[in-house]
Amino acid sequence: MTKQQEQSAQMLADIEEGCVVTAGSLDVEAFYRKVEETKAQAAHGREPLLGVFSRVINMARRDHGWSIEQLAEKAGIEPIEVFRIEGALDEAPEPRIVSSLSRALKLPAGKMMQLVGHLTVLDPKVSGAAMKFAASSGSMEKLSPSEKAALNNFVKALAEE
Amino acid sequence: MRIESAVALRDANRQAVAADLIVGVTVDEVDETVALWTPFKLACEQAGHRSEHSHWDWSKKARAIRGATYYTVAGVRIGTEMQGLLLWGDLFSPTARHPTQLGHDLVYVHFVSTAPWNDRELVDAPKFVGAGTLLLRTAVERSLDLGYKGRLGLHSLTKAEEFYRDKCKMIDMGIDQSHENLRYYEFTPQLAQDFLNRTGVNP
Repeated sequence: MTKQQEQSAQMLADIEEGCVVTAGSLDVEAFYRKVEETKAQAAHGREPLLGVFSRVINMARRDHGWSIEQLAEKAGIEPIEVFRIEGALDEAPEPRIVSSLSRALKLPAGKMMQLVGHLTVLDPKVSGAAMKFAASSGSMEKLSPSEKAALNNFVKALAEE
Repeated sequence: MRIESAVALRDANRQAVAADLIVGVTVDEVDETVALWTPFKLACEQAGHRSEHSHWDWSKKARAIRGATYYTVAGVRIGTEMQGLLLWGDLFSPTARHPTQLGHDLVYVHFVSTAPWNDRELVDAPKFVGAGTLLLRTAVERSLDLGYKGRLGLHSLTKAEEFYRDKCKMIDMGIDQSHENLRYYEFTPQLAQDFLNRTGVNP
């Protein structure tokens, strides 16, 4: 245990000494109803913008010249999470992951949160820019030589028995 | 995403004891916690000590939010014993009510309670003190991580009002008639920072 952890334990206890700390709701059924409503809201949120988020992360990573592993390391998350995000997202990544990736890639975290539906307010400028980006960033892009090699290797591996 | 970090709590002898802070407590861990807490709680009730929230079922709560990444259960554990649990929501949550923060996103604490042997409603001498404050601090840190600037809201049960108002120094926003007439408390960014400083988080 570090000295700082020890000091922090004393500070926490000094605040809480003699107190009841319970907070929440006595009507727990109301909470369960709210959870169901929230799940429904999340499911019908902003699916089209999730694709834009995936593409922004992919392009920003490549712009930095990083591999998936390098980005994962810089963001402090698992490489599989980056891989999943850059693929087809069917649900929003956890807010903490969005925040970590945004920080690592120097993207505005608040706007990225809006894209994936993690903020209750969606700025029309953000959704408009996202749609413009989606329309202009896709099919024209050619694969770089290393991407082409990786794709070829992948196809070759798939073809092997 | 599960995160574990080393922390400490103070025991009844005023000594710091190593603990683990877990953000992303699993349903299985909540079940184990409930199995551990229930006999102690029942013994207290048989002795005539019943808490305001004695009907809470953390296992049911954990199952209700399973698969919904915008809810998180955090806990603090010493050895194999969970000392407190907190459930927060960090999106699709109520927004800030304080006039200076009106409508901004915040982390909302849906539930927080300590283990029954740490609960001053049930025992005079808690085994460990500080679990609730540590979990609240963790929720404030999540708020900062998400760009919510430390904004946090919760409804206090009646016996905990002193803690949130006088000890945590949250703003008392008054009785909330839409929430069982419980008092609603909020941290503004400045008050959240003050709270972090007072709980040992370096700026």
